[in-house]
Amino acid sequence: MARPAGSCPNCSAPIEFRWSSAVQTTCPHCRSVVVRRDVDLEAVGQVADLPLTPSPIQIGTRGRFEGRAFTVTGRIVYEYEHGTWNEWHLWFMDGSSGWLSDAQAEYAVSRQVQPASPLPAPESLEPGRRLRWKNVDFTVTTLTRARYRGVEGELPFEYWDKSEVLFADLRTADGQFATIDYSQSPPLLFLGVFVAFDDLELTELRPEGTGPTVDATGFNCRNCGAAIELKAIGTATVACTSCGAIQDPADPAVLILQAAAERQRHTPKIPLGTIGTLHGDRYEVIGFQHRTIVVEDEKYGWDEYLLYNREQGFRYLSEYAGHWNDIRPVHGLPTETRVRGHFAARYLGTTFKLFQTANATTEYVIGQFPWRVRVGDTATVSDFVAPPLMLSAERTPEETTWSLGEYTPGSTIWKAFDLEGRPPRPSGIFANQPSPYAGRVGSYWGLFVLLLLAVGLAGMWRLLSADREPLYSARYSFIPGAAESSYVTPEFELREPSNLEIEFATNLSNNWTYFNLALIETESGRALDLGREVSYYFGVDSDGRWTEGSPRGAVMLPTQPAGRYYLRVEPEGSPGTPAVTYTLTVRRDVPLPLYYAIAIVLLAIPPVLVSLRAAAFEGRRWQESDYGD
Amino acid sequence: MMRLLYLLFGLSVLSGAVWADYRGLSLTRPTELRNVPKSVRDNPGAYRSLYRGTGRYFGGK
Repeated sequence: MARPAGSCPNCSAPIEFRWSSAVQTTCPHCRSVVVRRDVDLEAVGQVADLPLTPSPIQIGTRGRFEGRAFTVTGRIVYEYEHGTWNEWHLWFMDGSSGWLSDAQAEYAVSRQVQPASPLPAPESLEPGRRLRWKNVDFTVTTLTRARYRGVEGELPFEYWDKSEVLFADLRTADGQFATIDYSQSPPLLFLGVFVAFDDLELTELRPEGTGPTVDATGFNCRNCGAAIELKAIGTATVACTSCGAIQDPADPAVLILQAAAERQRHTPKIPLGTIGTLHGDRYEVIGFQHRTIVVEDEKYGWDEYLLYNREQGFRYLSEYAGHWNDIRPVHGLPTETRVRGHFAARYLGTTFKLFQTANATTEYVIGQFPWRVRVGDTATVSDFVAPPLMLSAERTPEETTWSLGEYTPGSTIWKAFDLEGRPPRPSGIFANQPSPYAGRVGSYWGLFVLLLLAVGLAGMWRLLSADREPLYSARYSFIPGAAESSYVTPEFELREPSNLEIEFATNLSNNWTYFNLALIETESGRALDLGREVSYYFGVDSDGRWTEGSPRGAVMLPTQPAGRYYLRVEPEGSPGTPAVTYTLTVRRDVPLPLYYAIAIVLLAIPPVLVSLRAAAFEGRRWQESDYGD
Repeated sequence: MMRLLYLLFGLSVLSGAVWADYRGLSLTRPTELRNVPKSVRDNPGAYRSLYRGTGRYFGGK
């Protein structure tokens, strides 16, 4: 609720505080910084014009954080190497205050906390150092020297006479963050979390199309004269879309940072200025760069598109040989580790394997970027993959930035940006391209196990339920080489259709016998003619004991109709060998496990094939990695 | 789709195995002869089998 507090000491305009604990505000009329001292107001200085920022947030914007409503009452604006950022002061309805950091549409909400022990001196901090507050481990990610650019609205403390301010930013793996503000002595500690714009449920935003969407200070390219319209994104680099000359928008009239003629031109497949819808939000393509790496003396190049949405911020599209990735910066700090000897990174519960590390060089730039981009810029890029995701770390001597890409079909990009024609056909296999066999291998083997179970159950059922009923059994002997060895068995009855097994259990010893058989149906005279050799040899040689064959043998007959049968048997053997004694047994309904074994082999073929193809796909993928040949 | 085909293939193989087992199918199919004379019972040596033993020696390794 607004509370009248008095008049501006400088212009006498009425001053009111929305938040009762506010210490400082700015006069909306004369832009004086007004500080509340007991019941008096004192004008302590004046605010310069604030830099243009495209933020949709403004004084008076309302929202919710962790279930509690807040109102934006003021802001501090800083400028640093990569542009400007706002620290919006939040007044929560419970009377507490917090800060909403809005750095190029990357949002984080924090609150000032009292550290249990003194904060470390800035000289002792370096990226990678770990600090612990409230049982949470934070890692120092960046040390930022920022320039104070101004204030607006109500703040919980006096803050107007600053120049350069040092901040230490720290992060955790799960998106928590901390900032140490060294502008005060002792320094201040803020702890908070990164938040998505939509999660803040912001209302009373600055309407789109109003305010500084396009900077009125657009200029003409120093190199070719083409008009350059500056988007108010805190642009740090402009590369003329006509000639490609890179200029600093802060002083475009005198500075051509790099001449266009030095560079080979690349034509973006998505023209700059194209607006498309990704993830339900409208994005405009505002920048394009072509980057290369050199691997084993061969240069590989890819394109990167910078997309901008006023509320959601920046994201990127990358394209290499027809393979596209939809990329966004990540807030959490991935943990680098090793998995079974393989370098990897863990982020939000997912493990990404290191694919490749290479030095990337920027070779061509057009459009606008909120950070400094130059032809010849280099960074060490490490790509970690967990298809379809790719976690990338870009390391420069100053900082490491992480981004998360998702493999996206070109057709999706074409549809999102309503582009003409068809996307280029992908060639080869990309690092995080989802395998067409992903998930299939497991499901095929899962099905195989189910089918194996079914085969096992069926086989078990047959083994347990088969009758194996003996129809005839008798003991015989014959002398190999005898003039006539054939004989017929007595008739036996097959009461129901069934398969038949004729088994010979012999006393063969280093000998063989061949049984000519004919199963003859008594009534019809139909005969099934077949033969079976039984042989059994054994001995000892230099390798030890050996055996070959078996003294037992059997032959199966397919299902025969019910009826009366007899067997004609004619054994043969080597003349002069010992007499052979054997038991001949005829059984009906005998199970055949061989067919179940064959079924298992057949069932294994599809999953084995899918596994082989999946392995071949992964082999081709990793062939291009640091681990390839 | 391919998994459905695999499932159908698997069920076919399973059915085939059960059928082949129950029918007692054998890779060595017997030769069928018709009208074998009843006299075979009295004179088994008169029957001319289509199969003859090879008489080969398997001994040794």
